[in-house]
Amino acid sequence: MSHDELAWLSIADLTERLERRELSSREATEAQLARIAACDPGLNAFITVMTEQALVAADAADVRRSSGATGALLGVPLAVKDLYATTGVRTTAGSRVLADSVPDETAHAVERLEAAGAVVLGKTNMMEFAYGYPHPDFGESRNPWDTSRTAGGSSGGSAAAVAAGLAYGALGSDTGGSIRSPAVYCGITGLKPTYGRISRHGVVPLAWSLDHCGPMTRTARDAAIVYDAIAGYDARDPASAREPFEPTLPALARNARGLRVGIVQEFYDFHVQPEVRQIAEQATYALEPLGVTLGNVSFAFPIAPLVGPTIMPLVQAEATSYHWKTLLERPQDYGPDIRENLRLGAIVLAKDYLDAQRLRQRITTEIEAALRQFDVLVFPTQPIVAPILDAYRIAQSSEEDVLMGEIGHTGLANLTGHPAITIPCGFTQAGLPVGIQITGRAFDEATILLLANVYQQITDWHLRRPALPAS
Amino acid sequence: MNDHENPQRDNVRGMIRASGLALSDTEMDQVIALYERLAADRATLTRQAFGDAEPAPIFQAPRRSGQP
Repeated sequence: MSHDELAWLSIADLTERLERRELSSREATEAQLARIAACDPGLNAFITVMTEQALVAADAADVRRSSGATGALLGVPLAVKDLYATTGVRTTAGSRVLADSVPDETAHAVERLEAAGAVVLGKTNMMEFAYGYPHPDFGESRNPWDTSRTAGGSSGGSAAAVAAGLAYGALGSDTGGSIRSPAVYCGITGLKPTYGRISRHGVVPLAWSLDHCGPMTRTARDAAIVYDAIAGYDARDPASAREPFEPTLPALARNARGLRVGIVQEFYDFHVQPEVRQIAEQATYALEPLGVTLGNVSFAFPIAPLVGPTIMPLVQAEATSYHWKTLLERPQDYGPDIRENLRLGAIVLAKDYLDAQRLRQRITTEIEAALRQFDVLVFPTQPIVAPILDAYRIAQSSEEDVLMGEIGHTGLANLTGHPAITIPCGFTQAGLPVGIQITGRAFDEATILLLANVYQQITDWHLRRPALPAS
Repeated sequence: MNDHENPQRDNVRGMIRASGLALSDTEMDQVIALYERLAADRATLTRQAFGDAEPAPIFQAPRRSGQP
């Protein structure tokens, strides 16, 4: 098997080969490192490649396997977004502010991955402090499907790495869609779990009441594997949920028959490009043969246009609260877009913040009501395909509708805290991926993973690969 | 509109100065203009959705029961 063939295995398939001793973790890790060296100069997916540490971890995993140890992530090479603290390895959050920051502890989720025997290949590029714009020092990650386009953000490096076969999976973070948006633009699977389900300890915050950690993978099954390894209570995150945790992977053995799927029509309309809408509608009706029941969701008021105006003052105020000291002392070290947003957060009135929290509760109540009628809700993950590079700056200055449309689709689940997964569901005529989002009940990640997994058993969108230079 | 014709904007300028955020007049104008635009959008959309009704009490994270 060539490095390139090896690179496209799923985590589940790789683990089977590791179990059967057809392959060692060192071989898999060396193959990924070789692809990173060959492909990443054109993608800018990684800020730091941890070659030596990865090979040491791979050898350790091989020793554990030869001693009889097993595990779904034992010896599997993964990447982590560069806002997860890693002991002894710089953690920049994509900013000059932290360009020389070397943590002396490791983030909870990375600790859990390492305890499961995963091999951390490196730290992935991201929008500065996860705030939606790249810092000029680090630049934007490019989309493997079309390198003139963005990989999205803020977890764009993680998405590009997984989509390009430079890692078998990655960790991202999601405050208004930062896992799901780059995942859909790059044609991969991205899971934002329930608020509080995965500890944010050791993760540089953007907005505490909206921040989530989660996996980015090529399949829903792989997302379940990574999620199961990192989910659960952690006292070091004040928002960590004490809800009992059960692994989701066994639930994927079920079928989807009888699930009630709610179609949220307004999100098929809100700033959605016609081709994206058509593909998302086809994907929605493709669920019917799985034995699910489709129905239309209605709300007491239009929710889609309210999401952006509700989430933005929350992000602005919380982000500025976190960054205040540095903003006063070293404003020049922020990129110009983030600096302006942080300054904006300084004048969000207490009234604005509280009004937004009240709107948030009203929206959450509507979603909860819909999720009593349906098991899951579906709508397009994003209203557009991956924009051209620098489009986020364009969006801010002249095409605000684009930004409102994007955050409207993904920000909903951040506001309400419900779990949501995106999976690829088609490609445009221009060859760009489109995704559909499945939102579930609080702490019911198993059901959205199940539906995503059965959809991937009857489709092959998640198996398509971008054309990249061979390693 | 001049600041003396807009007490709210004048308050915001005072708030920014008091906060210690060192902004030039141009930077301050940019930030205030952005704030005003977003606040106006939010107010319009909220009015459209709820009229004069109170939206809700403050947000609470969801629980497994499905009741927030």
